[in-house]
Amino acid sequence: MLLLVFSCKKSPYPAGLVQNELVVLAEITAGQPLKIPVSKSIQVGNGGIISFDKVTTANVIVSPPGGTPITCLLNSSSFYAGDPASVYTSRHAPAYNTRYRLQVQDPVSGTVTAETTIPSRVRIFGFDTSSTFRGGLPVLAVRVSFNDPPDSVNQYVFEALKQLMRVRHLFTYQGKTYNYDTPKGYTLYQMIQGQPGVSLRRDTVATDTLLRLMVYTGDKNTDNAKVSTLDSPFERIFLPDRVFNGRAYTETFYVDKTYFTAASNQGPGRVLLMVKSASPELYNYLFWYEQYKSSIESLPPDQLYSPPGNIKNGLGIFGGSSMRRWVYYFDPLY
Amino acid sequence: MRSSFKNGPETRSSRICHLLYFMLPVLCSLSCQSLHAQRGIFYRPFHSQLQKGTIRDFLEEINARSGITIEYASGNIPLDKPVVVGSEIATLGALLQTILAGEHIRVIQKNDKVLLVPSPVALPDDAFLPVYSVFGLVQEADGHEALSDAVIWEPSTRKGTVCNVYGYFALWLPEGRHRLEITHTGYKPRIVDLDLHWDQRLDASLLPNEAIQEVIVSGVDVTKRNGGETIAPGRYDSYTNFLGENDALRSVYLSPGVLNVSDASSGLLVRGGEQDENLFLLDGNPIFNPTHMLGALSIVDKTSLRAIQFYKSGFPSRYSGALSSVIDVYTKDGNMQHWSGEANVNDLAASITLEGPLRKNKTAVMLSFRHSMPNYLLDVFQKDFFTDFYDAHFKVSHQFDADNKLTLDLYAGEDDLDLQTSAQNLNNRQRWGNRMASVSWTHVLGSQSFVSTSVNATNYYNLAGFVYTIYDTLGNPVSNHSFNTYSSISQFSFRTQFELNGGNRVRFNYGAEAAYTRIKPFDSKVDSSISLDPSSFESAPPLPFGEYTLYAESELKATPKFSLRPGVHFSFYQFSNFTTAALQPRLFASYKWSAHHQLYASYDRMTQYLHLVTNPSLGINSDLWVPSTPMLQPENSQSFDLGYSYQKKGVLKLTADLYWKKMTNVTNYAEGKSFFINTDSAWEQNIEAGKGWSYGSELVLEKTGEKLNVHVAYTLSWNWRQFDQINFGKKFPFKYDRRHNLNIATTYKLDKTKDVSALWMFATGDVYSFPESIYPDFDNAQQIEDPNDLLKNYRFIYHFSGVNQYRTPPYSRLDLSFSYHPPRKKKYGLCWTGGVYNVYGAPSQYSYGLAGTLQTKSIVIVSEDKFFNITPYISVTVDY
Repeated sequence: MLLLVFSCKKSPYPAGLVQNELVVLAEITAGQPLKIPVSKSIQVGNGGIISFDKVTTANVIVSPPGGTPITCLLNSSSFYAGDPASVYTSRHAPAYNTRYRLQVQDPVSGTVTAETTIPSRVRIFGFDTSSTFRGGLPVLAVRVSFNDPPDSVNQYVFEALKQLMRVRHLFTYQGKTYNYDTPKGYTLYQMIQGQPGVSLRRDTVATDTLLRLMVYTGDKNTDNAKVSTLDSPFERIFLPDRVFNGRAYTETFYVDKTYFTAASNQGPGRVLLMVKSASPELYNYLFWYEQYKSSIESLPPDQLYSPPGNIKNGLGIFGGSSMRRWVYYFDPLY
Repeated sequence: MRSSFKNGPETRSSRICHLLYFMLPVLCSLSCQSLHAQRGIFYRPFHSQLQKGTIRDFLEEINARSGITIEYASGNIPLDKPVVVGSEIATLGALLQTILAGEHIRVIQKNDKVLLVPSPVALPDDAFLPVYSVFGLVQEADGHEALSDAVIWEPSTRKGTVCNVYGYFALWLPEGRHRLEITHTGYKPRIVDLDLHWDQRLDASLLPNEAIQEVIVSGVDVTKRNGGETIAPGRYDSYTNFLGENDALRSVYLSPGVLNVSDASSGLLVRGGEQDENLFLLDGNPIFNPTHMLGALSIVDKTSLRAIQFYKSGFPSRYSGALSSVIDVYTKDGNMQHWSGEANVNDLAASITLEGPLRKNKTAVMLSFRHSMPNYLLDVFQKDFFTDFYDAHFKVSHQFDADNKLTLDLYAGEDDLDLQTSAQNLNNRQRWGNRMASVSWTHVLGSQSFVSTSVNATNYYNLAGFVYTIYDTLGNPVSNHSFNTYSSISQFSFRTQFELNGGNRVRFNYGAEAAYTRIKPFDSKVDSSISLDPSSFESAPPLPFGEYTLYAESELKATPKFSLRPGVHFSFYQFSNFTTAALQPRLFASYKWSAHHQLYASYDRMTQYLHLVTNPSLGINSDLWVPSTPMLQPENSQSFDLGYSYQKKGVLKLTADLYWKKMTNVTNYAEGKSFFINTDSAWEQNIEAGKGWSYGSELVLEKTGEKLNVHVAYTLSWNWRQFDQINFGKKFPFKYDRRHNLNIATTYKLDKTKDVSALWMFATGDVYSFPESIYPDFDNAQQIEDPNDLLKNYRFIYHFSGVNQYRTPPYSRLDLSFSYHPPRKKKYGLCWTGGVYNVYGAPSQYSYGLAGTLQTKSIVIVSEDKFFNITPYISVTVDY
C-alpha cells in the first residue's frame, strides 16, 4: 500500500510549456578574433514554421578573470546574412591557457552565461602531406606529429575546410584606388578606361564562407570508432590523449580532394588544414554533434541524443580551442 | 567477482574450480553417511523370541542376545509393564520402539551402549526406528511420461517429498507399515501400501483424471521450495490462445512482473530486466530466440509440452547465464505403451504430435511438427504482415532398465517474416532460426541419488533487412536503401547434475557444466535492396569463448515449518586472453506457519556473459549477441524477494511479493547511439554499458469455483537505468517502466462441455524521449556548409531536456474465447475453440515522430501500431 501511494506521484517528468531560449554556438580560438553567434531556440511539434530568429538586441561580453571585459558588437556584414544566428564579433583575440566567461544579455530572451578555457598551444614538430587514394577516392594524406603536454588531459580535433575566396576588381586613378565591383567604381571606370595608367587589377580576398571537407582516419585510438566504422567519412577527427598522454604522437588523416579545385560554377577557394586542441566542453559537444549528424540520417528524432552544451539558462556551446592551421591553394587565383 | 588478464589454464579461479569439483561429492556423501551412522545399531536385525512379556523381559533378552548393552535405572521405567510385540518386527530399533512406546525417556547412544534416561516428554514415535528410503519414479500410467512435481505424502508420519523434473523422488520413512498418497495435478491420486524393512524402490504410475484437467487453478499444499512456478499443460489454456494457436508460454505473461512488449524481439521482459536477460531452456538446452513472429508466439508447441518451470527469483543454483528469469520447458519423451497424439488446426498454424513405442516399454519416439498456415486468412485482418514459420521436434528415448534412460532430442525451427506498409514498398524482411540437438542419460544411482548427464549443441542465426528512404534537399524521396545484417551463435556443452538425498530434511544438488560458444558476427551492409543471402555477407572474425561452471546447493528442512535452500554457483569465463570468474550465492527460505499461510524470502546473485545489442529503431529483429570482454564486462544482478502466500487448496490462492533488483553492465539500451555496426574490430566501443535497478510489489489472486475461475495479477513497479554517456550520467526511467500492470483472466463454465473466457490486460504506458525544441546547426552558425549534404533542410539540432521524460497513453487489450469440448469418444477427443483477439482494436505500441524541415511546419506524428487488430479465430484440436 505504501508503494501504491508513492506511485501516484506524477513521474518521471511532467510536460510543460516550452520557452524559447537563447542559443550560443561559439568556438573561440586563441589568436583569432572573437566571433559569437547568438540565436534562439524554437518549440517543435506545435505546427509552427521552422525558422530561426536572429537576436540583434543582445549585449555580448567576453571577459577573462580579472581582465577587461571585451564587448562583442553585432556584425551586420553581408557575409553573415545567411547565418541562422546573429554574429557578434570583436577584434580582440583570446589568449592561450586563459579562462573566459561569456555573458549574453538580451532584453527579450534573458541572460545566459558560460565559461571555457583556451588550451595551451599545439606543439607541432612534424607536418607532411601527400596525395594518395583511399578506397579509390583521391585524398590528401596529412601526417601531423605533435607533443602532448604532460599532466593534463588534452583532446585534439582535426578538420579540413575550404574557405571560399572572392575576386575583387580594382583600379587606380589619380593615386586613389577604386573598387570596380561597386556601381560608383564601375561608372567611373567606364568614363576613364583607356587613359594612361588606368588598368583593371584582380585581387582575391578570403570570405567567411566555408565548405566542409570530409576526412578519414584509420587510427583506432580516435573516438570516431564510436561513431561509425573507420572507413566512413567524418566531419572531424576526434583524438583524446588517453593512450599517449605526455608523449609525442603522430596522427595521419586523409582529406577528400573532391572540392580542392572549384567547379566551373564556383569561385576559387583555399584549403585549410587544422589541428586543434579543444577544451573538454567543446570536444564533448563536437563529438556528440558528429554522432548526431551521423545518426540523423538513420534514426528517428526520438532516438537521437542532442549534443550536451554548457550554456547556463540557455542552449548551445561556448568552447575554447587553440589551433595550428596550414593553408593550401589548389584553385588558380586570377 | 574478479576480473583479470591471464594466460594459461592454471589460474586461481580454475584451481578453485577443480577443488570444488572434487570436494563437493565427497562432502555430500560424508554428510549423508553421518546421518545414518547415528542410528547404526538400531538397524541390526533382531527377532525376539518372546511374543509377550514385561519391558524388563525384553530388555534383558536384548542385553543377552543382541551384542549391545542397554543401561537404565529401574525407577525411570515401568519395567513390569506387560508388552506384546508382533512377529513382523525385524530390527532392534523396531523392537525397542514397540516396548518403550509412550515412556518418558530419552535415548543416549555411545558405541554399542544405549542409555535410557528420564525425560519430561514421551519417547518420540520414531526414536528407535530405522529409517529407510522409498525411492523411484512417478510416471504417467498411459505412457511412462515422467511426472515432475508429483507429491508423495505419508499422512501418519506427515512426511512427504516432491518429484524432480525426471519424476524421481526419495522419501525417508521409519520401518513399518505405511500408506503413501501419490498425487499430481490432473491425475487420479494413487494410494500405495507398503511394509518397509529396507530401502525400497517404488515406481508408481498415475492415470489422467479428465475432470481435473478442466480445473484452471490448482496448487500443491506443500512448502514452497524455490521461487519458481510450475505450469502444467492446460493450466491456463483458456487465456493463452493467440489467433487460435495455444501458446503455453503466454501463461508466463499472466504472472505479475512479466511484460510482453511488441517491439522487442523476444517480447518478454521480467522485473525491469531486458529481453536478453531471460534464459530459455528447451529440455535443458538454451534457445537464443524462442519465438516466432517477432515474439508474438513461442516455439513451445502445446501438443508436445510436458511442463514449464518459470523463475524470476529464488533461482536454483543450477541456473546461470541470465539476470532476470529462467524458463525451463520440458517436452514429452514419447509414449512407451501405445501410439497416441494430438493435432490442431487454426487460423495461424497447424500442428501435429505423434508419439508411441518402437519397442513397448523400452523405446519410444515423439515427433512434433508445426507450420504456419497460408496468410490468406490473416491477410483479411492484418494486411502488412506475412509470416512463414515451422517447428520440428523429434525425440527418441530408450529405457535400458529401471535405472537407466537415454534420450536423443532434436529441434529445428525457422521464421521468414515480411512487414510491409504497402504492396509496392517492402519495409522489413527477416529470417531467423534455432537448431538444437542433445543426448541425455538419466540414471537412478540408488536409494539416495539420481544423476542426469547430457551433451548439447544449439545454434541460432538471424538475417534481417530494413529498407529506408533517402531524400533530396527538398525533402523529396530520391531512392530506397536497405540495411542488412547477419549473425549467428552456436554453443556446445557438456552437463552433469546430481541429486543426493540425505533424508527427508536434507537434499543436495550439485553439478558441473563446460560450454564452448562461438559467435559469428557477420557484416552489416547497405545495399540497394534487401539481401538475405547469407553468402553475400562478409564474415568477420568469430568471437569464441568458454564457460565452466560448478554449482551446489542443499535443501534443508530445519523444522517442519521452516526450510532453507542455500546454494552457490561458480562460473569461470574465458574469452581470448580475458578471464574472469563469478561466485553467485543463492538463498531461499520459507516459513509455513499454518496449513494456509507461508512466508518466503530469497536472495540471488546472477552473472551473464553474453550481451545482446540491438538497433531498436529499425523495427526489426537486428539482435546480435556479443561476449564479455575487458571493456564490456559481464552483466551482474543482485535481487531480493520477500513473499507471502495464502492457499486454501482448490478454492483460493493469494501471493504477494516485494522485490528489489540491481543490475550492472547492462547493454541493451541503445537509444542515443547510432546503428551498432559489427564489422569493426572496435565494436566494443559502439556498445554503451550502464546500470539498472527495479523494485516493486506483485500480487496474484486465484479463485477457483465449480463454475467460475478468476485469475488476477497486479504489478506495481519502478525501473531505472543509468549510463555515464546518456542524460549527463543521471538516472532515467527504463523504456518499459510501466508503473501499473494488471491482468484479469476469467473462465465461466456454462456446462460440462462449454465454457467462455475473457482476458483483459492493462498497463501504464511506456516512457519515451522527445525533443522539446530545436536550434540552429553548429556548422551553419560558423558559415560552414557541407557540399555533399543531402539533408540541408534538416540541419538543425533537436534539443531534449531529458531521456524518457514523456509517457505514452496506457495499453490495454481484451481477448474473448469460447470452447466446446464434447465428451470424449472411445478413440479420440475433440475441442473447438473460437474467439476474438484484441476485441476493441487497441494499439500495442505508440510511436511519436516529428515532421518538418527548414521553412516548413513542425508537427508531431503519432502512430498507433497494432500488432494484430480485431482478429477472430477458430481452432480445433483432436487427440487420439
